[in-house]
Amino acid sequence: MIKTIKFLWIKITKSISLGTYILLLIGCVTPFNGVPSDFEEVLVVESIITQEYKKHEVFLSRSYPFGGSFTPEKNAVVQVNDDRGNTYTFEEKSNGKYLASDEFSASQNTNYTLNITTADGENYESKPQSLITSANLDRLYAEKTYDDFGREGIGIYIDSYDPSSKSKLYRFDFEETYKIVAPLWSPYDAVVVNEGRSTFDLSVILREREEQVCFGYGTSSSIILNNTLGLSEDRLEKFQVHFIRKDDPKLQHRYSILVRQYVQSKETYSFFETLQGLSQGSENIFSEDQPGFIEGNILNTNNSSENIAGYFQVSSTDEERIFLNFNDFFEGSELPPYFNNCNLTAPITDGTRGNRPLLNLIYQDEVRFYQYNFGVMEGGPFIMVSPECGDCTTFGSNKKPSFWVE
Amino acid sequence: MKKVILLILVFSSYIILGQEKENYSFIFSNIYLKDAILKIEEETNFKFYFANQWVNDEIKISQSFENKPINLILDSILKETDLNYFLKKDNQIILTENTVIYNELSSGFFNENEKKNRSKKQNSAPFLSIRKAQQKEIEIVRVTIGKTIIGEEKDSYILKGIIRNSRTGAPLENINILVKNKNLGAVTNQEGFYTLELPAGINLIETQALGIESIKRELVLYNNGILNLNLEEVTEDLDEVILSVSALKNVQNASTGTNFLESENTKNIPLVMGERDILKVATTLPGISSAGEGASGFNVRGGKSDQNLILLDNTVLYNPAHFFGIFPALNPFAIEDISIYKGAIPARYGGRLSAVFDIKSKIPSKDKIKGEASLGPVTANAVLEIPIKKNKSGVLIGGRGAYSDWVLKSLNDEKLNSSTANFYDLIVGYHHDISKKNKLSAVAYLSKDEFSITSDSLYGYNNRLINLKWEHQFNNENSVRLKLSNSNYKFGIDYDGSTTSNFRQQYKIDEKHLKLAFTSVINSKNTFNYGISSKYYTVAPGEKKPLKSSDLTLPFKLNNEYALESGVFFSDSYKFNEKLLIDAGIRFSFFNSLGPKTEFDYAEDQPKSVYSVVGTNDFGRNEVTQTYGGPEFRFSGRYLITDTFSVKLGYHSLYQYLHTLTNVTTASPIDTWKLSDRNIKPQQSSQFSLGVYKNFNDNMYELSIEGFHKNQENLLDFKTGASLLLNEQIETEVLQGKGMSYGAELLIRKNKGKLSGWLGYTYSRSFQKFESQFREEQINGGEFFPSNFDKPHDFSLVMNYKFTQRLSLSSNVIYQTGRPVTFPVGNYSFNQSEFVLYSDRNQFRIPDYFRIDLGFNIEGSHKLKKLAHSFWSISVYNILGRNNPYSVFFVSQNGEVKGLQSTIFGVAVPSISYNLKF
Repeated sequence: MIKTIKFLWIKITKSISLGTYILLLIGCVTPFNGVPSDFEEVLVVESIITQEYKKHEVFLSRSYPFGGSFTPEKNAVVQVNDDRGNTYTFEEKSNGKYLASDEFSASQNTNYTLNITTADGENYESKPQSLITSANLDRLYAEKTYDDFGREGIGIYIDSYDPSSKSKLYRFDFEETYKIVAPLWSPYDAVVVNEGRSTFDLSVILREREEQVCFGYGTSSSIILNNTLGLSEDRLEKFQVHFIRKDDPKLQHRYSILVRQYVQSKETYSFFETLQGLSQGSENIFSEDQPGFIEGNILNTNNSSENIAGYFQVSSTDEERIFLNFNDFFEGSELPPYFNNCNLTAPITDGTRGNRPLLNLIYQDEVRFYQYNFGVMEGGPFIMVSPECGDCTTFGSNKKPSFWVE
Repeated sequence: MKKVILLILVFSSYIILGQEKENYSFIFSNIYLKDAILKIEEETNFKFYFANQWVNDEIKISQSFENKPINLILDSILKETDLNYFLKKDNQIILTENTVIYNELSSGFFNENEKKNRSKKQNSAPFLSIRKAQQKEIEIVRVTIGKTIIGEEKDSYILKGIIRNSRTGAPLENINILVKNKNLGAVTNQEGFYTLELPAGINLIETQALGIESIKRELVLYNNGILNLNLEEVTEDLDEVILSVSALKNVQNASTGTNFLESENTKNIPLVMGERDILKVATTLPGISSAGEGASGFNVRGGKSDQNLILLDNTVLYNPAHFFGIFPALNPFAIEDISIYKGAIPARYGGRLSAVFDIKSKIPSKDKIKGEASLGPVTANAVLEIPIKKNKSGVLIGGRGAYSDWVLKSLNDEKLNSSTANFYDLIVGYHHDISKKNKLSAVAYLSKDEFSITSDSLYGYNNRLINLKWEHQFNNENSVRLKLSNSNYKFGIDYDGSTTSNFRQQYKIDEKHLKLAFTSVINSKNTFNYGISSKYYTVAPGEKKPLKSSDLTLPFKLNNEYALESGVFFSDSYKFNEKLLIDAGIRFSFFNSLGPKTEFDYAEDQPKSVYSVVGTNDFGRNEVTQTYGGPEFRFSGRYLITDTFSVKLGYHSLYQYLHTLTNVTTASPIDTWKLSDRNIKPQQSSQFSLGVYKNFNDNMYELSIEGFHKNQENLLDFKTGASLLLNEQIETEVLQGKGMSYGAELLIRKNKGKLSGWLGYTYSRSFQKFESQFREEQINGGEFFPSNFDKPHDFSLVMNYKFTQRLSLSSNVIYQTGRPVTFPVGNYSFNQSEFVLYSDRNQFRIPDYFRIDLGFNIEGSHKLKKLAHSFWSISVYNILGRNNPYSVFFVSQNGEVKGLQSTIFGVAVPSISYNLKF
């Protein structure tokens, strides 16, 4: 009798821990195999017309299936009409970019409508949009700070003030430009002059292009919004538009950021707000945020139920640029690392034609010359580095931007 | 044909009257009654019919009669006995015994309208069948009701009485009283009271109830009378899996779409980790479903999960689940039963659109200590019933807790150590029978949950309920119930994952409720239910404060909201005739949103948003900011085609002034409740239902088919990407639209035999529609689209097979169409980023749900003298280990969008639990 009880007790305890493990197994996440084969192709419209006098742009593309790539919308007829009878035509450039034929600027108290006729004959029209007021970005500055995770870095802040209290709803984006210096650069490069069955000829020549100093370029990848609703003044103070970690390679040398401020209409602002909300996932396994198609302001004139992604904005904008150097913020600190880990190698030249490692690497553009190998390390005659370390053009452009000041 | 019978009746009654005029003389000196009767038989033409045991009394007769009519002689010699007599034509005299209650009639029983003289033939007709019954069913106890009073004979009489639990003395509700081979039946009300109009003479009645013994009585009815019964609980048997208390109730009562479940009888049904859950069992009934294993709440007939009125002893239970709906928040041992109304909601209930889940806690035993305890893989549970004053008062104490957290902590694994999941619930009930006419009860309930699913946030929520109930019986016909209750639900989230921005966020809703309900039995055909009810709400919609002194989180608090919800109701259950029963009611429902509050006005020509505010209105304390309300109609009618076959029609309309705010696809414990105000209108619904009900094979099988069509107005939904927490102007994120659902529900039950259980199948659709002049306030272009819980096919098979009295095997088979979801249908680039393009709302479905559970139950031995009764339950949930996705979502990983599915129980979950009852 006692034996039986004991046996059962073991069973119970076993199942307790089993149950506990299951509690932890609750909510296991596995790949979902039935990825919907249904792909919905919709027109994607992106355009901002501002008060700046320039050739404005309209970007047209199509949504693409998962794993697919950007699909420009070609051969569309694009124009912007205002309610004063002006029509601004756009010409197709490349990659879905349509550029205004002439320079123009959006003016106050005027409604603008984007009109698109696609190659398949469909006609699309935006709701009329207008400028709210002029934007005024008072000050752009950087300060040493910490992020939410307690990491040190540089915060990029703006101050903005509209005495007329009309702006209220702001969106920001930025472009960052930073100087890149290839750490293992040499003025020379190795070339294969010829390769024969048993002989080959390598030569070291001066590099033909600038590969030591380049300029990297990036843009804001998230939607940055802020408003002054509920405030007594239409004033933004020390609003952080960007944060760069102290160990970010972009800070290794000189860094510059251009912040653009857009004053948005209520509809435009809430569109971006929704887009922002939905691109943030939910953490809770038991509940899933309700996703859905986000309505823009463009409609098919013949079929109002067609979904069109994107938005046609008319906004006033203002921009500011600042430059900053790592040492101005972190005097005495170690510089941030380079983008890549850099290793020196000395590939050998032994082998038959077509099988000589160094030559093959040069052919395939996978190495850059660093220096002659005078017994520094085992291997071939040259010490080579990866292009990332010996050639800055892997990370940026070797053309100095016109705004750049040292 | 009818006319012919009538003629015979009139003729025969004349003969009887004529016979009475003949006179006789007898002298009885100290002889037994039997001998006296034999003497009369010998000396006259009369022939007596009687059972020997009736006249075996030691009573001796010494009387003399000279030239007296036979009825006078019989009156005299039977005076001291319980015997009645009847003179029939052909000089037959039939004696009958009336042993039980004799003339114990309250004045209300004699309905003046019914005092019409009837033919005596009809009274006497049943006697011909007495012997037949005697021979056939000897074991049936015969009860004679009343004594014929000459000149007041009727063709039918009223029988009434109270049915009580013989152990506790508590009145038994929902006991079915059936009249064999007649189109008649009654069901006891909350007070255990029933009335039944029966034809005079022989009636075979039977009580039917689940978990309660079934008794039969042969009634011989000579007049109005009372039959009180004390029934015993049947607990030692291994119960069959049966969900409804009474066999014929589904055919005989008036309302469509009602179900009844007793907690005890759900114990054989295998459920996850052996946790008995009466509400989970309810989801196997047609028309009730949940969005998935991890979803709190239920969807009833295409309604949202916030539209269910879940009552524990008449007090709203805001969250009836522990740990995201996986475990029940109610202690199964402390729960007596649950009544579910999804078709015709009675007028006494109001405030939620879809269904009422009326859960009753157990009435504690008042004569001996009883208890029940269990040990399962997740929880330990114990309930005690302790009498305070014998047969007067008792208390019920129950506690239940999960010890999973304790196990988690004791395991030597870092990952397991950092997760927590903990919950408990407590219940205390006190019942006091002050007198026969006054009863007092108080129940308090508390539940608390704490869990963390991500390492940096801790979630907690709790329910707190208190209620007081006083019942007073003015007389057998009139009673009143006064109920006072308070319900409180709150949740909090502690975020502790950063250096300077930790916070604690809280939400709370509190309601105080007063209800006065009367029941008046006007006559056997007519019963009134009426009363008033009022609720005062206090909602603290949101508060955020720093968790530690180092946190920079700005303290923020939304203003409290206040409101008053009231109702006045009246309903009349009227029995037109044996076939037609109508229950019609009306409820006037009112809602006042109260200050202090600031209400915003929005421009009408613009979509509602924080940017379209055109004015504000400030209201002072208790100032009414907005009033809503109107009449709600409730109707249900039943027409009996045969005594086991009926057709029912139901209609109800309702208002609901509370809404849950959720922008996730399924219900979760951190959904907040929002009161209606100037900018958020109350939800409304109306539903028609029609059903046919048929019992077969002496109620062994029950079949019902019901159809319904429901329309809803002002359902709440949200703009895509709405932010709901701590939002001061929630109306700017809200859309209000229409709902439409329809369906057909089939339920087949087998109630008796080795194999018992039920099969439920529902075909139903549920749609919503949000249209507006503004495209941003539309969903799917303002067209109807399937709701998040639209599951067209829903099939459940629940079976129990009894091998012996002690061993049984149970199984569940569940199949459901996958719920609709919104899938991404591509990518696009915009604003220098890649975005996922979503389809219109709910254009896809997750894979269908399919699950089989098995359970094996071993009942302890049935020795009478055994101290305690034990019960083992071994079960495997999801025995196929099928990976039923609960949700499907898409993430962008390395520039590639990947589909992932989350599963709550993707493996077979075995469990064993031990129950003890004494």
